[in-house]
Parts: sequence; structure tokens; C-alpha cells
Amino acid sequence: MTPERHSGNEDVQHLKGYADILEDALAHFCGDLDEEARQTLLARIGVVRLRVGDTLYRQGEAGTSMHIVLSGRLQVRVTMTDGNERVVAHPQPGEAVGEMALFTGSGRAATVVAIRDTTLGVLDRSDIDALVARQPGVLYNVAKMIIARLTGTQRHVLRGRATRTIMLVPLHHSDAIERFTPQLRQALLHFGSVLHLNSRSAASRRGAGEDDEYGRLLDECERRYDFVLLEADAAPSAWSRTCYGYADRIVLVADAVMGPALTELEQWLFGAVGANRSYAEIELVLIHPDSAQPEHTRDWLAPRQIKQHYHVRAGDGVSIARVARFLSNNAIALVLAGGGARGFAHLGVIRALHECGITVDAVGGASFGALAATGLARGLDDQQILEEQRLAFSRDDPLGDYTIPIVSLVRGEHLNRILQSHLPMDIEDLWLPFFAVSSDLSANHVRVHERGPLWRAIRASVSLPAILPPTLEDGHLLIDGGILNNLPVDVMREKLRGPIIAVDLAVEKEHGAEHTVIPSGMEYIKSRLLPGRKSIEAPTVSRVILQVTTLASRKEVDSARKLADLYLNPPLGDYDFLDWGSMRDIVEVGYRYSVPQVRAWLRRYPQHQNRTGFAKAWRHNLVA
Amino acid sequence: MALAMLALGDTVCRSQPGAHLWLLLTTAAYPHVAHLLLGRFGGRREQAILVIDGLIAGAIVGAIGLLSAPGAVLAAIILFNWTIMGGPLLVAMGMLAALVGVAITGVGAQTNAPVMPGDCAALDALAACVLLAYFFVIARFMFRYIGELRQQQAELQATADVADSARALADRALLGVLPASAAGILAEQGDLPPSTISNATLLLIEFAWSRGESPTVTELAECFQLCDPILNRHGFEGIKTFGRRFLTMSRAMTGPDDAIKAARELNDYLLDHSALVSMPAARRSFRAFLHCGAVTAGLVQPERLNFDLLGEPVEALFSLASMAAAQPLATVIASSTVRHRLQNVAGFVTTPGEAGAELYVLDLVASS
Repeated sequence: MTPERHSGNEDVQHLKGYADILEDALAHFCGDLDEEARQTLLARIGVVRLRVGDTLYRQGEAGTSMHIVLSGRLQVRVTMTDGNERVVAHPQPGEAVGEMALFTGSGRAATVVAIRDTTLGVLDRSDIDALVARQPGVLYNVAKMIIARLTGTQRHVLRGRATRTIMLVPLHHSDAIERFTPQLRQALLHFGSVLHLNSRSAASRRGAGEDDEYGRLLDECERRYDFVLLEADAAPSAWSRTCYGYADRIVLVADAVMGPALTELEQWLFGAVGANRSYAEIELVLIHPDSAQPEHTRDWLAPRQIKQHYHVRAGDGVSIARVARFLSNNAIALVLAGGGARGFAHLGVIRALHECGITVDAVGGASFGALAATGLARGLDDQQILEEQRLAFSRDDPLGDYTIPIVSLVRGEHLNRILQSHLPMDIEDLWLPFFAVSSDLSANHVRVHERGPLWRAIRASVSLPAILPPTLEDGHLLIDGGILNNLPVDVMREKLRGPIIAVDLAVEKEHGAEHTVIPSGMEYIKSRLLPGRKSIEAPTVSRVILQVTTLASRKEVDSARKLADLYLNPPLGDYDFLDWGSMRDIVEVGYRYSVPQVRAWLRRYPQHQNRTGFAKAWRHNLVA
Repeated sequence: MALAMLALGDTVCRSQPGAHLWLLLTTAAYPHVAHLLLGRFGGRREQAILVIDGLIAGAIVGAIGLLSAPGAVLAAIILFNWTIMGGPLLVAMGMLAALVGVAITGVGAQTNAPVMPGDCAALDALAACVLLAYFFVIARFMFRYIGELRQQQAELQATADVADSARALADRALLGVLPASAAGILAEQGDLPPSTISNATLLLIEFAWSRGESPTVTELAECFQLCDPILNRHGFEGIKTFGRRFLTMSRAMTGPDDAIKAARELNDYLLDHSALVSMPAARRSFRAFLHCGAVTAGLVQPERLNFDLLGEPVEALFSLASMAAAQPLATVIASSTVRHRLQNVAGFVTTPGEAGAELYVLDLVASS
């Protein structure tokens, strides 16, 4: 649909509310204008209103006008030569779109769609031509802008979508849900000013006689506050419809003890109101009773298009603060690399992060890193993870079932049994968002596991080639994730906009790599068995295989390092990939290395230190 | 067991009971004699015992037959015991002594129809029983020893875990009782001596209820929790709470401006959400007192972790608060020093306070 231009008195009235945005946008677009030219231009601006899902124009269409976003949000998509469509920008209030086609005379370079109810100021070619004739200097400014836009588009730079307006949709009536919203409001205050509106408070704020479906009120609120929480009514209503049109993110809030079936409100909202036109990210918060563990989350996700889900304990400030960090793009993610026994260092890093007051909100990893990440994702603390891994590796001997080495050295049945007993849940049921990566031998790409049985994902991710047999999933052979992507920061970055802490286990010079000659097998055995001979350090089969697994993805790790906000690389040169007996020492190395690094990082970014929770409450209670 | 094997060999296999009577007597008496002699050998006790052990063991093995199964069993057991108990030197000394022992009895035995392997089933059976019993004793010993080791390891682990947990709790407690920056320095350096902050901005928030009711502890906690994130974002760090008052400080040069912004946001928040908060009867509000200057901050009593602010600005701030007790709610009351630095902020009104002092009052609602 091509929107119609509205004009007349209504426009003038409407534009008054956006005077500051228009002034800024014109100054940016035209540079210094004389007062008369500025007034003339302002008088020529019309208004276009788009509903969520409306298309402003399509790629290739002739361009006869340019637009300035006054409120709402647009999405700019470019169809590439391979036929794929790529989102390249999300223009926000104050930004201009469509000016390129106007000046270059070519067709529209991109398709622009409203992803929220949006109001635009519009200037026709004739208005611009008149302006340029009067003040040719404008062209210089426009040229600069177009070059910047072109550069950005060709590099496929996607600016993150700003989150300002969050729609909360209560799916059930319960005390837990009622208590959730004020707690979330409070938690969001750590990241910016907050306004929480429901239909009653919105009605009381809206001026008498205003009948534009709250549009002006919400535009004004969005300009004044960093976050606007719009609490939908529990039943279909005009207010809920307005919230839907203004939301950057839609958060469904459900009581986990209720059934997972779609509610009447959801059917109305995503059916009648927004059929196939939902551009807002839809997220789900499941509120669990105090002592319950999440389960059957897949039943909740199956009938819904959920981008991200969160598990929250009823009334628990810690888990609600986590949701706030996600919604404000401040969630902290931890990505853990693979590296065999060196992976015990992850436990030291986790302990250091905990002690320095960093709360990890999402975890992911490859190989042993993925295994270490499961502990955090299940809600265990560093001590519990350490104890669990100590038992798993010292008592259960996961790699003890040797076999005839045709497929692999080890049958893997021990490991399967241990993983099934320790990790019986689905990934969706974990307290923290989690992923593990494996390498798909059949398709030659990285497989990201973020749904389904946790043990299978870990089994695939730790399947060291030649040591453990590959796993089979959908007819594809999966082996160790470290082969193709040993430090999957890029995978995390696609899911999360907050800071990412990456822990790499690579060492500059591998332990025992200082060979002058490669000994024969007999020489090696003799050096080990016969007294008086110096032991020869040889690149054994298992060590070579393990080093090869991480060698292949070194290049990816180097780029991952740049994507990470805090890169940790504990000095583990003294420990081998198979040094399972040195668990406590390796943990200690990880811890001692990380503490000063994390503290230095927090000095630069103190906002990432979490000081909420019992510590704060204690200080207040002591005095009160 | 060696005695039994020797006696059985002489009696049943050779039919010469008492053939090695001297050896039987010596072996039977040896433990008691050795016990009596122990004190005489001092530092060389182990070597002496091993030499005697070796001599007697070698003599018995030689008497039974070096190449027989029972002899081999005895020799293996003795060698194993020495390996476990002593180093290579002691084992070598023991073996040398044993060879001498074998030579003493073995030579004579060869002339008296030696017992060859397979010649005497009873002796072989006894040797097998001895070997099994020995393995059983060793296995039992090892099992108990490993169990003790495991228990000790578990106890050590538990102690380490308790220490780790206690340290983590202490670190978090530090964050609870001290301002974050102070806790960070204390955790890293172990000390936080008082130091001067030349340009501190002090903001004292005093919560009040418009109808004059006294706030409950829960309501106050709610207010303080509300203050924390807003003030933190504007560069202020909570120092202490005193009843309804919350003392905060900023080290930034823009502290006074930031304080006004924080106060406005706090007031807006309270107004915006008055219909949503849990205390409908009385609308919460506050007065904010603002002063700046050089203060001394740090652990005045380190042993009590007593973080404190000292200096004239602190006294002046509390004087300001007492002089402005009658001022309306939702206001910022600034000292003249602050007012001087906030020339660009419109809306300040000069008002006489108690004791005739001049107060600079900003009405947050009227000036927004």
C-alpha cells in the first residue's frame, strides 16, 4: 500500500507536536537555512501516517518525495543480487528516508516498511527543487548524507533497533503477574527513565477531547522517557490495539502453572489485529512458583512465534532484573571456548565474575565450553558446578569405555549415560538462555543448538573427532563444535545486543611443542619405560587430534575476539588438553587471571556491576 | 607364615622334622629379639632391620628351596614389602643379605634332597594360601588407606568450599555496607584510608508524606530502592541512610546539574506512577538538599568498616536540611554555593529559612 499524503489544518496542528524533531531534521538535512527558507519549507511539509506493516515505498519505484520520521519506527530492506532480502537500517524519529532517489533520479534503493504505527513528515520533489534553487549550498549537505547512506548500505550495516516502547501482555489473571510489572518497572530504572502506562493511567493523562487513539500522548511519552511500558488490557480493547501499534517489543507475561494454550487475547492480537504484520520482537516471560523448576517450555513455544523466552521465579528480583537487562539491551553474555581439560579454567572465570558482581544473563559455548555453560544456565553457582564436574570427571570416568578404534577410540556410552543423568532437561527449560555449537560434517557448517534435549546438544558439541563417535541428528553427522567455531561470539552477538564476555583457552605455544625431532613410537616408549632415559615430549595422536580441533577455527576465534567486549585468555600453557587430573589447579589459574581483568573492565564500565539483591536490601534494612 | 611353610616342608615333604630347628627357633625368636635391639641401632635402625630380615628370609627361602613355588612366593612377598617400605638402597641391602641367607641354608639343602617344584603338593597348597591371604591383607589395607585418603580429601574440599563461600559472602557484604567504589577499592587493596575529594556534590533526599503520616519501614525501603538506580545513573552514589533521609555523593564536576536532573526524574516518577504504587492514601514525595565542597571520605574506623564523610560541607548540608524543614515537598533546596554554580537553571526562588538564613528553593513541579 502506498500511503496517502494528508494536508491542511490537521497537519499543521499535528506538526506542532513535532516542531523540535522537524527543526533538528531540517538542520541536519539542509545545513544553515535562512529564516524565510526555513519557514517556507516547514509550511510545505505534509504528514503521512502508517499503520504497523504498511509499506512506505518499494525498491525500484520512482522516487518523488522524501520523508522525515516524526514518530514510530521504519525498517529499510534491500533485495540483494542473490534474491535475498536484507534489513539494513531502522530509521528513528528525526531521521530522513527516500532522499537518495530524489536527488539521484534513480528508483528507490530499498523497500521501507513501518514496523510500528508511524508518523512521517513529507516533502515533494518540487519543494526540494525550490529550496535548492534558493540555497544551492543545501546540495553539499545532501551529497554528504547520501554518501554516508550509500557506504552504510553497501557494508550492510544494521543499526540495532532501539527499544523504547515495550508492550506487556498479561496472558492470565494471577498475583504473580500483577506483581511482575511494578518489579520490572523498578528494575528498568537502572538503565533509564521509565514510564508505565495502563489503560487507566493513559486515559487520565490524555487531554480531554483528544481522540487520536492516544497517538500524541504516546509520541510525547516516547520523547520524554527512555522506556515506556505499555500494559495491555487483559481482554481485547482499543488500548491494547494502540499498544500493539506502538510497541518495539511485545512481552507476553504468563503464569507457568496455567496451560500453554493460546489465550483469547493473543488470538485477537496476533490474528485479527496484526495478522502477518508483526514486526515487533515477541518475547515470553514464564513466571514459576517459588520452588518450581521450568518444564515443558516447548509446549509454550510451539504455538507462538517467540524470539526469546525468560523464566522468572515469582517475586524474585534477581530474575526480574535479568528480564530488564534483556529488554534494555544490557544483558551480559558469557561465551566459553572449547579446549578439553583446560576448560576447567571456565569455572575459575565464572567464580571471578560472580565475586566481582557480574551477573551472567545468557551463556553459550563450544565443546567443553558448552558443557561448562550448562551449569550456569541451570542456575547453579560456581561451587556447585565445580563439585558436579569434579564428580563427573574423577568418579564417573566419562571416556573410560575404550573400543576397537574403527569409528573412534571411545564408544561414548559412558559419556552418554553421564550426560543423560546430569542434563535430563530441554534447553528451553534452562533458567538462562543457552546455546551450544557443533560442527555439521554433512553440511559443513556450524549447527547452533538452542532447542531440544540438552544432553544431545552437549554430546554433539563435545564429540572430539576420532576420540568420540559423531552424533546423528536429522541425518546429519555432528562433531565437536570447536572444529568450525571454537569461540562462538558471533552466534551470541546475533542474539544479544548487550556486552559479551568471551573466554578463550588458546595458548600461544602449546605445551610440549618444542620438538627438535619426531621420535619413532619405539623410541618414545623406551624413553618412558627405561630408567635413566630422558622422557621425550612427542606429539601423541590424541594431542595432535585435540590441537587440530581448535586450529581449524583459529581465524574465527580472532574475529570473535574483536566482537567481544571483554576477552579473557587465561595462561594455560602448562596444562595439556587431556590434563583432567589438574582440575583444581586449572580452575585456580582461571580465577587468578580473571579477577584483575574483570575488575579493570568494571572500572571502565561500572554499570555492568550488579549491586541489586540482598546486598542492597541489607544496607537499607540495617539503617531503617 | 614362613615358619609354617618351613616346618611343613621339613615334616611332610622331606620327612625330616626338625631339620631346620635352629632356623625355626631363630625365626620365632627374631621379632622379640629385634624389638629388644631396636633402640640400639638409632638412626641406622631401618638398615639393620633389613639386613637381619634379609638374612633370615634368605635362609628360609634357601631351606624351602629357592626354585620351588613356595620359595618364590616368599621371595616375591618379601621383595614387595621392602619396595613399599624402603628406597632402592634398602632394597639392595636386603637382597644382598637374603642372598647370603640363601647361601647359608641352600647349600646344605641341596645335599639333602631339595624340594623341587611339584614334589610336595601340601607345601604348594600352603604357599598358594599364603599368597592369597597376603593379597587379601594388602587389598584390605589399600582399600582402607584409600578410603582414609578420600575422606581426608573430602574434608579438605569441604573446608576449602566453606572458605570460598565465606570469602564470597564477605565480598558481597562489603558491597552491601559500603558504597560500590569504596567496596571495590577495599576488596582490591585491603584498605581504604580517608582521602579528600575536593569537588564533591552532596545530595540529601528526605522522603515525606503529603498528609504527614509516618512512613513504614516497607514504604521507606521502597523509596530507597527507587532512589538508588535513578541517582546512580546521574552519577550519585548512596553513602548512608538515616531514618527517612538518604545521603548521596557525586565526584563529578557536573554534580549540581546532575542532582537537579535526578531530582526531576525522581519527582516525575513518583507523580507518573502515583496511581500504580502500593500506597494510595498518601502520595510520596521528598525534599532534596544540595551542597558542594571538599569532603573527606573513607574508613574512619577500619575495624568496624565504618565508611564516613567528614568536612564542613557535610555539616552545612545537615544545617540546610534543618533550616528548610518547613519548605514544601517536591523541591530542591540548594546552598548559596550550589546556587552560584547553577546560574543556568531557572526557577530558583530565594526564601528565608529558619534562623533567618537564605534558602534557594526550586519547585520541581512548577519549573518542569
